[in-house]
Parts: sequence; structure tokens; C-alpha cells
Amino acid sequence: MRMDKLVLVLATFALAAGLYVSNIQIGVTLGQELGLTAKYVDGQLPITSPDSTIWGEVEAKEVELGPQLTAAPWIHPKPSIRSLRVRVIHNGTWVSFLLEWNDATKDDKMLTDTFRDSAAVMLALQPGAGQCMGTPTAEVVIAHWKADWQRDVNEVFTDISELYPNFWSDWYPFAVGDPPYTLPNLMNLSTAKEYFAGWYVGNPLSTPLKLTPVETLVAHGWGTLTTYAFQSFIGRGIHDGAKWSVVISRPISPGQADPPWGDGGPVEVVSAV
Amino acid sequence: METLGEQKWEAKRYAGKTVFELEDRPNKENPVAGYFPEDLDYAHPNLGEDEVSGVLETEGGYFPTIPKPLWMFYLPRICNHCTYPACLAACPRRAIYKREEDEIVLVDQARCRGYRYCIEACPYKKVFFNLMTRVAEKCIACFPLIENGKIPRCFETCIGKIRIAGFISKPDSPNPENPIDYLVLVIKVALPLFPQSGTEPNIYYIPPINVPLNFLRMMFGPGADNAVKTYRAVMEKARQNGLENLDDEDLKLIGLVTLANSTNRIVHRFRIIRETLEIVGYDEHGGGLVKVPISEPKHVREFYDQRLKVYRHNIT
Repeated sequence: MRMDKLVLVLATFALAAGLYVSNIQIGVTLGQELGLTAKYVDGQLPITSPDSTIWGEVEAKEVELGPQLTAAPWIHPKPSIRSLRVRVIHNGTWVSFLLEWNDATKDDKMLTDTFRDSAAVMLALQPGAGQCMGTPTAEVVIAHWKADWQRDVNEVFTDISELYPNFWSDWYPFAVGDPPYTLPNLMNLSTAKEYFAGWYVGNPLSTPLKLTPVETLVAHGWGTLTTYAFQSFIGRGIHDGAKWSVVISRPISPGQADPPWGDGGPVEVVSAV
Repeated sequence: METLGEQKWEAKRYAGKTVFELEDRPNKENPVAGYFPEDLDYAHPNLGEDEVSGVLETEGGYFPTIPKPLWMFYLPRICNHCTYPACLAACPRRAIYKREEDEIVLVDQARCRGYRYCIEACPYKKVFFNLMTRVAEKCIACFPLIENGKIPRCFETCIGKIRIAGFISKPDSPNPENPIDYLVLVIKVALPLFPQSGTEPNIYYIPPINVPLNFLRMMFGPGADNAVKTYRAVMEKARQNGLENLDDEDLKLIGLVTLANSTNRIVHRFRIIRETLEIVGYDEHGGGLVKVPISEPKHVREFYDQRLKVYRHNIT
């Protein structure tokens, strides 16, 4: 992921059965260790509420971010975001991660030369998957929260009229209604969708209908990141002018179609911002 | 080309570094040296396209000369479907691929995740970020048409009727009966744009002959001299001696220019019929596609119209 203000790879920790986080290593090269416990919370979790008061009752761990230098696109060794605060809670059914980092600018629109803010949690659910994008024999599951998706979900799909308020397009093939045309309601005919190739072929990045700002992906090595057929993660991010607070949640056992947590043994987790 | 900086040609051989070899590239994250465009770069894509180059010296009066002091030309630019695509090399997701059957370069719309390394890498800036779908898109060379033996739409609808689409042979084994081979590999009047990029672009241009050679060399490399010389010589001979007195080789060049856009099918082979001054295009199976007169009939009218008692402005 090319992210000029993002830093990839930050934390590796073992997630034992019962969601007790016993051992966190911060960045492969830094060798720092943290202890972080997924606190048990009775009742409903704030699975999409980063501003819930429940989070205030959970100890946050400051996680130092390290650069990803293993494979292109690598991140230069001077990341703009150097640390992250992580909280983890569970209620036996769901697990929620709260990621917070300082960022004075809210980048949730994408022009040709701008990139969105985003954050990810990677679960190495199979033994031997390692800390970075898995291996050909052991895949990893990744939950990727994206600020532009959050904007799409919160407000309205960010189409051209949102990016360029003074932009005007006249006739557009197969659109319904009158300009300015908006996605997806005025472009929903299959003939109109053909002009949005990514949407037409089902690329989740291209669909104007976003149900959640978090994408569930799998990878089994560098360059293999793929949207997973079963979207099990949800979440929400808010920006208060000084920092992002993003919660990413998933049922512990969402069903057979989802990658299972494993055999109950330790699970490595890597986060990225 | 600014990214590449100063590089060298040794005679007609490029001895400089290409976009794949430049160590001192602006973005070390990208394996290919390129330029990442700013959003505003796309704001006025046609700004300046109708402006002329050169300086008109008017002191002492202006007299038309060749090459003309003021000049301009249009350069239609589509994706070059390069032999060694920089966009493909730059994509860390392997979402860009080159089809084996026709070497068309495509962005897999399902795999692309909008990292935009391809946009930075392409020296011709022919990959674009679609702000609506948030993934990269580019020309697909109308591959469904190519698959059916037809030329791409922009070739078919070219109002200047100056585009020829087809397949090229390997440089060491050209087929002189293939239109593309003949123009590119045999008489070498059609040249790739900015060959020093190293991507081996597969769109070839016949350079405009009335543009200063320095400018053409910058755009098309040192082959521009020969291309202009060859083209100009043939046209000059045709003007002075008439088409019927041209030799076969010269007729081929003029014939191919005439053949362009006369059919929407891909011409795999052509043949000149000297007796009737016609050119014939054939499909890949040898079937005739089109027969075009190389010489158009010319009608000259009297300068003075006796019936209307007026002078005509245009008599041909």
C-alpha cells in the first residue's frame, strides 16, 4: 500500500486462547515487548463505537511503529506516524480492537495525487504465517479500515461532484435522470455500470455501496492481498481534529466460511497504520 | 524525460539509462523511474494543444520558408502497449498483465487496488486513476475488436484517416508485405515516441516533415532524420514525376498512406497493382479486404465560369 503518511507493520503479539494477549513485540526489528490483555467486557461491545465510554476503562498500550522494508511498496524509514495506542476487548462472542494515532489532517478523499488514511489489523491464524503478509502455505487475514470508505458510509458516496464542487458533466451514457449524475442511484443500469469497470467486475474498492468501512482480506505472501469472500470485520473511525480513533471488530467464530481462529493456540497479530 | 536527465545516444543506438535502470529515481519505493502527476496536471489536458512553436521574425518582412518558422502538429497519444511495460513492472500486485495472444497490456480491474505506482511509472502517462472507481484504468486497445480481426475504434474513427493497426514481426525477420513491418522495420518511416524510455512502445508515428529536425529527434530519436528524408523524397518524386513513374517501393509508401482507414479490418498483407495504380489489403487468411486507388481522380475547371460570368475561387 502506498501511503505517504502511513507506516506499515507495527505490532506482533500472541493471542492465546481466551483472548489473553500475552506477548507483544513491537516491530520486528525493534525488539520491544509489551504485555496487552484483551479485557473481558460483560454484555455488548462497542463494536462500531470508538467514542464509547467502555474504552476508557481499558488500558491502552503505546505501540511503536516500525517501517515496512521487506517488499515493495516499502515505507521509507521515516514514517510520519510513529506510534499507535491499542486497546483490545472481548465478550466471549466478539473481539474489538481500538486503534488510535495522532494525525492532525483528516485525509478521507482521494484525488489522483492524494492518499487516504487507513489502518489494518492482521491475524496470522495459521502457524508459520509469519508477521508479514503470510506465506504460500500459511495465509493471514487482514482487516483494513479505510477513511474514504468511512466517508462513503457516513455521508454519501464521494463522487466527482463531491471532489470537485464546480465540476459539471453533461450527457453521460446510459445514466438515469439529469445531471449532475450521482452514484450509484443514477448509474445502476448494467449498461451504465460497464463504464465503471472496477464496479462492474465487483472490485470492492470500486463499489459505491459500502456497508462497512472495513474490508476483510487474505494474503499468502507479498503481492497476494485479496478481498476475502466472507466479510467478517466491521468497524468505524472518527477524527476529532487531532487524532483518529478506529475500532475494528469481528465475531470470534462467525461461521464456517470465515477463516477460523485456529486450534486455540497462539495467534500472531500485526497492525498497520 | 526530465526524470531520466541527460543521457546519450551513440549514433543510432541509445547508450543511456532507461526508466528501468535509473538508480537516482524520484521515488525509491517505485522500481521504475517516473513522475507522479499532481491532480492539477489533469485540470487542463488540452491546454496549449493548438498553440504554435517557433519564432516569427518579421523585421525586414516575412517570406515563407521551409521549414516554416511557425509550426505545430497534433500527436494523438494512446497507450503504447509497450513490449516492456513500465506500468506492469511497477505494480506490486501484479494487477497489470500483457496478453500472450496480442501483447495488449491490461489493468485487471478486479485485482487493482489503486496504489498508483503504474501512473507514476508510465513515461507516457497513459494510465489514469479513476476517481469514481478508485482504481487505475487505461486504454484496452479495444481488444474485443482485435480478437475479431478489426481495428480499434480510435483507429476506425480517425477523421484524418491516418492510422493503421496491425501486427508487427520481430525486428530481425520483417515481412515486407505486412503494412506495419514495411513502414516500421523495412523503410523505417514510422518511429516510436521517446524510445529512450526503454519500454519499446508499440505505437509508431510517421513524423511531420515540416517540423525542425531537432524537435523530431527529441521526440522520435535519431531515426527521425531518415524518416523525414525518405518520406519527403517519395512525395517530392510523386509531385514532380507523377505516380505512374514512381518505382514500386515508392508506390508502396504512398499506397499505404492511402490504405489507412479504408477498412475497419486488420490488414495483414498488402499488394500494389501498378497497372491500375491501386493497393489491395488482405486479411490473415489471404482473403481480399479492400482495394483502394492510390491516385484520386483530379478535375480542373475553368477559372472563369462563362455561364455565371464569375471567377472561381477554387478550380480543382
